Amino acid sequence: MILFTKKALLDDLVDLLVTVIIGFFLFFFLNGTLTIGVQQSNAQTLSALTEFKRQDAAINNLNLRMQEGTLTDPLIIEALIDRSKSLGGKTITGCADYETAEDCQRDTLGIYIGTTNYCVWDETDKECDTLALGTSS
Amino acid sequence: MNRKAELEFDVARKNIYWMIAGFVIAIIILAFAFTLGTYTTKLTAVPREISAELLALRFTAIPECFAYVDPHTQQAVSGTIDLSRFTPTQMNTCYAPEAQSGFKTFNFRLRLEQGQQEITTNNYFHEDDFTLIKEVIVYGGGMVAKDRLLIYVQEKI
Repeated sequence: MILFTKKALLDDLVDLLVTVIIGFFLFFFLNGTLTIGVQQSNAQTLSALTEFKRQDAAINNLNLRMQEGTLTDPLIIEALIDRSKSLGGKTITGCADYETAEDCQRDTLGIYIGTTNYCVWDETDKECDTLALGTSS
Repeated sequence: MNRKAELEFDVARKNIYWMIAGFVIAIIILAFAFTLGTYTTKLTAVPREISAELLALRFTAIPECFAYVDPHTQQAVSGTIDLSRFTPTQMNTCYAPEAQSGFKTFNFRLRLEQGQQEITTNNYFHEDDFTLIKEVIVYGGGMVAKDRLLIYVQEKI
């Protein structure tokens, strides 16, 4: 009788422990899944913000060039915005946005790869100019 | 006699089991409900960078802040800073949290990377949480130049 009683209690205890352990792991699994989902959503939102800021900065660059009168073909604005990239936290839309001779000469971001233009550093004005292939400064 | 005792014990042990199990299951359900509640809050929360970015848009977009106003069209040019407006007085017109409790909300310190000017909002206490960077066109002294506006954000103290 005593043996039977102990066995029955042990049986109940195992049931309880299994319930608790499964509940515990389910809770952490669910919590983890939901948290990861939220973190991914936040990361996507911030990535979209970064993209927005890149486009905004590219428009600023073009705006400046329009004021300087160096943007010769306004029809390619869309392409220039799409092609702009970030270098050291600064958005490069064209040659004029490179700030060092090295970046300019190498066209570090490959802005003009596959086009008919290339970048040349102007030592006199300390700025980067855009030239058409086949021409030289 | 044995059988009766066995039956009574069986009923009693089930009661004890379900008393404890009921308590544990209730805790699990409560924890689950709490997790779902927290999840809903997190899901609908706007990342602080977005809130700060939206608030900071004004600095370079409207004439009440620091945006340059084209003298020909009298229109503010977005993404610009007019150095003649880049002053603490203008900042008070532009963004002024309540003097007493404004430290509970976003406060900013603005600095132009190439310039020396630095201005802060009225409840800014150099407790930066993160920094936003905006590429801007700066108008000043008859010159137009590119620069980066560093916006140091103090979320709350």
